[in-house]
Amino acid sequence: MRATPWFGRGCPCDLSRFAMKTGGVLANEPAAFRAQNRRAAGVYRRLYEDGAPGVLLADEVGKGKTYVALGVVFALLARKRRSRVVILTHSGRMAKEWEHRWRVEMKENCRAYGERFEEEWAPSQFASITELCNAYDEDEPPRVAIGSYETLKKYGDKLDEVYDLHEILGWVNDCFGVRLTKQHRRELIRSALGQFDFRRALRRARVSRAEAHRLLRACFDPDAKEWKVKPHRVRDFLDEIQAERHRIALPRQIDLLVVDEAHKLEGTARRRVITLLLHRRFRKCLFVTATPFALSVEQFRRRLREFEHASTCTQSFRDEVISLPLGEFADAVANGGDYPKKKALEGALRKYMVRDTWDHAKTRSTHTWRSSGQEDTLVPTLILERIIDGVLADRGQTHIASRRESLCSSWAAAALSIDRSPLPAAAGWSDLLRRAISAPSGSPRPDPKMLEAVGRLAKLALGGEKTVVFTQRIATAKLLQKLLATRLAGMTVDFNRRSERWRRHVDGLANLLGLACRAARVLAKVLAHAPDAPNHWDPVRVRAWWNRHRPRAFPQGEESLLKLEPALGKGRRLPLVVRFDSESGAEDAHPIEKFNLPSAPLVLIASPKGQEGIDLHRYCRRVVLYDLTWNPAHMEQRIGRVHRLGGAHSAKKKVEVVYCYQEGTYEALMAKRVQDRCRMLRVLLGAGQWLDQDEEIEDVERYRMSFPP
Amino acid sequence: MQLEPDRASVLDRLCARLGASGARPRAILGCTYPFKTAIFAEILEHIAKALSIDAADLGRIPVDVVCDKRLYRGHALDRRFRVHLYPHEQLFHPKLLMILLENEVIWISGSGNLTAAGYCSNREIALLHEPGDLKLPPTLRRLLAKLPGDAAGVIRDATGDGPRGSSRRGGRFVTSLDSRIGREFLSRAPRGVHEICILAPYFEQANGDDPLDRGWLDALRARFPDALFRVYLPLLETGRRPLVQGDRALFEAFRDNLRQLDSLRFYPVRDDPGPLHGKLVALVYRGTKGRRARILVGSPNPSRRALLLPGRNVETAWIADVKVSALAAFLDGLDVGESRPLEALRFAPPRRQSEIAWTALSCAALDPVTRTLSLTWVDGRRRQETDVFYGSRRLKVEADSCVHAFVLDAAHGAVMTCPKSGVRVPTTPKGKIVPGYCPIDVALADRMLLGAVEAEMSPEDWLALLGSDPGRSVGFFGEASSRGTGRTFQTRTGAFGPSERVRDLAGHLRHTLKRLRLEPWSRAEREASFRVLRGIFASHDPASSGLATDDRIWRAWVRAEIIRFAAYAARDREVRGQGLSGPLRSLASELRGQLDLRAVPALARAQVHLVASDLP
Repeated sequence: MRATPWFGRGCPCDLSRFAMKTGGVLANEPAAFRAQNRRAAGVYRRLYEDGAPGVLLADEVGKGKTYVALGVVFALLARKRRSRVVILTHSGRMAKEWEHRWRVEMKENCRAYGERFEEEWAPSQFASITELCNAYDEDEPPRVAIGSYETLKKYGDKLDEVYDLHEILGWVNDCFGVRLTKQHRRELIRSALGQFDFRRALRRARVSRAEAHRLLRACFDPDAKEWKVKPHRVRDFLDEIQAERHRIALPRQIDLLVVDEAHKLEGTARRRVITLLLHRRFRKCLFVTATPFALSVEQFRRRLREFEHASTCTQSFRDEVISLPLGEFADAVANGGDYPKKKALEGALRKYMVRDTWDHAKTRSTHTWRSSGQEDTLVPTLILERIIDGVLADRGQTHIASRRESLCSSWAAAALSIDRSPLPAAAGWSDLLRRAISAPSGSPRPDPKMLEAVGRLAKLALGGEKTVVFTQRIATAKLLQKLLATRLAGMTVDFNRRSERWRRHVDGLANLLGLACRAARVLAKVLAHAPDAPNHWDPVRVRAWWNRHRPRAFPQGEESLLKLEPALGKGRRLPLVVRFDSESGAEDAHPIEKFNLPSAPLVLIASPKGQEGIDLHRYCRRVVLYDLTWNPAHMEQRIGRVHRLGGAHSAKKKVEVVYCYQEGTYEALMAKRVQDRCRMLRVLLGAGQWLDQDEEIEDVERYRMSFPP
Repeated sequence: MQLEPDRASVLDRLCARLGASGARPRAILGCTYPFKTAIFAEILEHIAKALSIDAADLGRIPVDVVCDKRLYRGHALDRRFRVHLYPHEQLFHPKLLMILLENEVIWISGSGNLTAAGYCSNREIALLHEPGDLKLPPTLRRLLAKLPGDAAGVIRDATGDGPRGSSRRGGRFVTSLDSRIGREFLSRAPRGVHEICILAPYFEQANGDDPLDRGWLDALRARFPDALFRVYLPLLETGRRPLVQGDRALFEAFRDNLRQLDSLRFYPVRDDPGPLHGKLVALVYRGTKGRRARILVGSPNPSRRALLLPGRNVETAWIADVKVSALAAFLDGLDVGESRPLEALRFAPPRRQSEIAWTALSCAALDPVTRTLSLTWVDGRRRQETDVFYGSRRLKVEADSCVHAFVLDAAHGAVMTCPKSGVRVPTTPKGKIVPGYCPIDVALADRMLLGAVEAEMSPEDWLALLGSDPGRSVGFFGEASSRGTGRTFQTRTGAFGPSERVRDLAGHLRHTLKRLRLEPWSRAEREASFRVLRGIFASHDPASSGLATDDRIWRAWVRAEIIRFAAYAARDREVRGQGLSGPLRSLASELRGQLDLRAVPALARAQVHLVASDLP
């Protein structure tokens, strides 16, 4: 077997180089970083030597999937002249993050090619399919284009859909021999696409006869002269027509399509980006996700089947994926039995997937913060359970998972949820709940879970330890923040005093560490709020503190401090508790930057917004899953914010995952179920490396992976 | 005894099989001619042990026994199973033990009754059927459709039609409900039969019309006139001329019609290790595959009534082809010695059943909530002529055929019926009239209430009486349950679980509201339901001693929920349509007046008051 010479020490690309150069904690795990080289080689070999149309890079969260994917991108660009790569991320923010990693870190990792990163391989960002089409229409299309599939999925335009549908309805007579009046056509358009002002002129659209006939035959009832399917089915057809139109407009093929957080393709609209818009417009693809499936193994098959849209896909690949006995294997795992065809399945999967996992036994520990209802909190708990029972018993629209998640989040979130959309199934109980949980001031009281969590979080904060708390609802986050701030008021006062003290030593700091005055001011603020900083001016201890934290928090020294200046603000104290959600921007625009310092804030309360794409591992090794979701992939993503390479965890201090719930409640059931699902996810995806380590082994052995018993 | 080399007891083999399956039972059904409580209870113990469950847990699934009314003599009450009499006039003679598991049904058929003799001492022929799936012979499923009780219905519903016999054994399973077993056996009999073996404890119908019933022998002789008849009879006494059970006159008449007098040979079967009770007819023939035997084994004795007459007996049998070597090995195992002619034997006629039971009742159903025993008479005239006794007490039967305020005694699971003094009992040559018995039937759903006769009902037992929607609930073994949500709360076995408790209670109340809306309610039913609500209220007293604070609050909550429910239901439009609005409102105010929450902590007390008083 030929070895791929692109990755490793002394090779064009060494994915560990940047980490080693940065030093500090990153340099403590050289083996883990070097393993990225092997995985990149594995992916590259599957794609370009074994002929796979696509590969799933399914490393667990925090294992450096981005770098592995970028390594593959580099190898392709360097090996094949004029090759083009498109990277799709799930948000604009992540697109910037990928761009930064490509420009800075990959440039360092591939030092010999540094100049090409600046010029030929300089990434270009696109915000819509039209921009991408235009860029590909030029003589020199961008070699690396980065954009978000969230923006791509908006290729459709409602106005265009109206034009298209109007045009299609013009074919009714041709298709069925039935005439429609103008009014009738308008009503049909409104019933499928919602309200539209027909006073504006309708433009002719380019819809072929075949397309129109296909939609009409599938959706239109000529006898009743109305849609025979639900409106969304009509919209799906229109969407398909528009996607086809844009697909044809993409003039060149993409050599490699990289899709970040590919599990998000499970959403219909996002999946269409691959299945319709980019269908056969890319040669190979690399899907990057830590959780290729969450609730059903069929999601896994769907991910693999998306490779069929690559232009290099063959019929044998399709047949192979369709015949994968994933369901049988899942059943065998669920029943605790042995699966006789395990080896064959492992071999088949290994051809299209590369995966590396954490050794959970050595690096992660799971804890539970349990609370129980007391005298005055038990009756509200019973009322809330009665409401949840109403939701469960009602098989209508209210029986949705997110509703139950809201009701379990906190009393405050439950009250808000009921206020916003009343529950007919719990008529009478909602008012009772509101009255039972109201404090004298009228605002909701904290529930037992919150009281327990606040107590524990405050204790940890007083001990100088950082914690990330994930909640589902902003109401919960706000109350939690308020209670914690009250509980930690003493610590705030202490930090305020220290701030005054350290402000007097800015010049001393500048002289001692050779920093500019502005940088020293930033550092003084951090020192004043750092639990492990000396209380008084002591040059020796200050220097020791600086040496300890510089590699992790301020790797570029003064430059890093100056970058932090806008985030920390002038004259303001650093808060002990910060939030990161859709409403927190008004209060604090830089909670993540602050949390990644060796100082306050000590508690970050994040909403689902923070479960992907951010790193919180520098000084934090504890994640509190305060609210739970039914999806184990979300839980893994949340844990992955702190369980990352180069994180604050060590062999002695493992990453701590804390489940938090009130005992005996519905949320306890949720916790049990989601933990079971997480275990199942791990068992089905396998633990350990799904990568051929020994290149001399036989082909059959080559793709063997080890499922746990 | 099996036609197989493995001589382990069939019950042991069944238990070993159950233990290996590791599955949980869903229903158990026994069919027998006479029935004894003790041995069946012992069999259940064995089964529970094999399945690694508590025998008491069998009370949560349908476990039924169906027996013949003529020989039933009452039974001690056992909460684990129910006894039913076969409701039709036919003599009920099948011997079956069926166990429905989650993914398969295992059953025993043969000649052994659910008696100590049948399972411990007699020499029986029993077959263990292990199809490995949920398939039963269609003939057996048709028999199940005719049987009373829940177990037969559950087994029938859970299973589908499979091959007519056991797939492993081949052959066919036949019942007398579908065809005359003897006719079916003979109509498909092979050609070239040269030898017939007949093994039976009796040749006469024990309770038959014709004591010298040689109909079956004559039918065999007519069909196979040249065959050699080997008859195996129970040996009663050894000696130069052994004494066997049978009737000389019958065999003499039979022999006289044979073409050759020496075509009838006898083999006395010793009663060691037990008396012979197995029944077998084997036709030995020479076919294309060599010498084989077509056999008939099962419940029927070799009589005209059991095998040839339609609609007289309910019998089950298995007809199959076996190798002659297997048959020979089985017969050799009986250790019978040399054959003997008729003259070399002495005969003692079998002991005849000389008692006729006064079976006046076909069913006695108990409603434990109202404590009403409803009697169903076999015949309207019998009602005027019959006294009904329970234990030593004569019951007062009301005009509506009910006994009110009936108190169940664990020692007696049946009522006894006797002719009233002065009633002219028809004299009959069959024998004397003895009291008849009718088992007391308590619905599976109400079985939990039977605890009330033995001990005080727990609050959870009271709650279970409300019932819940069977479609939504899952019982202890995964079966649909009509009581509660299938969850049971063992008081203080672990942490206080508000979620399960609240959902369980809400499920009960939802079901009750549904019933209030849909069912036409008689006064008695309404009273019974209200009594249950009052019982729940009373049993959930927060002031009871020895309770933790959370349990006190829970009990107060249940009381508040009951009040809230009654008040809410009173306003329901459909409930109003049933005329229940006023009584429910009265009930709510009555219970609200009794809501004493002094034992509940002050803060929780105010909240519970709010729940009880603040209605939507």
